[in-house]
Amino acid sequence: MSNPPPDTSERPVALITGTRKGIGRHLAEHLADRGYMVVGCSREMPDWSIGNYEHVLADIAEENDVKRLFAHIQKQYRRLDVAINNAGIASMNHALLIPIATFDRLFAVNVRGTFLVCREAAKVMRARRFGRIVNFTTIAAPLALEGESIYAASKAAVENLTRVLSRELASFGITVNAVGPSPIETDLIRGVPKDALQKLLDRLAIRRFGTFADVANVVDFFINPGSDYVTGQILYLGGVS
Amino acid sequence: MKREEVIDLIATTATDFLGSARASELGKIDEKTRLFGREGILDSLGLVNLLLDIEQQLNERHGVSLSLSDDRAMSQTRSPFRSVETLTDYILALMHEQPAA
Repeated sequence: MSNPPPDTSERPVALITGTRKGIGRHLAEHLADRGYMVVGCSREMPDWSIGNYEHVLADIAEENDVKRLFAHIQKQYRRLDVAINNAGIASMNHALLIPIATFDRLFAVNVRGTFLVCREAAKVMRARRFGRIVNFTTIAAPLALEGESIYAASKAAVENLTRVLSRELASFGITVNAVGPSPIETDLIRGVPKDALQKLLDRLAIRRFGTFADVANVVDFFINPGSDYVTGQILYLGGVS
Repeated sequence: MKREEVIDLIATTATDFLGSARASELGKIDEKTRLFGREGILDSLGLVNLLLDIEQQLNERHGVSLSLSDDRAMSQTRSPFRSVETLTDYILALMHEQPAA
């Protein structure tokens, strides 16, 4: 946060959590290309940089970190148009072998972190009576995938949070939706056996890995100003319903 | 901040939020004004908006960062936000709890 970005008062501002790598990094590049000033965050600094992008070190599971992040956005940009809750962690394990510490950390990031960012984002967005919040779920939730008990449960919580917040925030001009990607070849699924992934792909209507572009396409739809009548929706990729 | 300053900030913010027509209809907003619940001047969404406006004013005008969140917020009888008086007490107590900068 030491190098203030150029004056961005006229440029729409998007916050994306978990931008150090994977989908978050791709979305940061995508929205910066589209003319947004992008504020990204993660617990460690990324090894990349682009124009119209600022990185803030923050652990979204920590309330003080999230408050500091939004105080910075308010002070520096005085607006927030889009918040994308991409940051998340996964765990693939049989339920009987999951340490409770894994459960706590996973829910802290996926549920508590998403809630904190939604809460603070809405406070900033409220001032301009416009906002687009996009949360991240997973096809593991509707498919009730074996081996993903706490990950799927945490994302089921995110889905209900999305639906309830869509109602609570509608009067502020803020929409809240969620995208549920199918497996994408990122670090999140690196440890998953190939045959397990193939079985998963076989359950999709369109049997291929998802791509960053597939996710960006849905995000673009949700954040489009013309999508002001679209809220509380959970959109899964790959043909899962 | 002194107690009178907090009361004044709440009254001014509430007047701005309600709009001059509604505010003059209600008369002067003072310590005894009931904000929420029976005979309150705000509905639940109005209360949320007022509290967020007060948070913003405290931060921008007085450099005070407070989170006016409480599990009893929507309680008709126990909400710390039910009147200007109880909200003032609540804000002063939160400020008192904050470590010195």
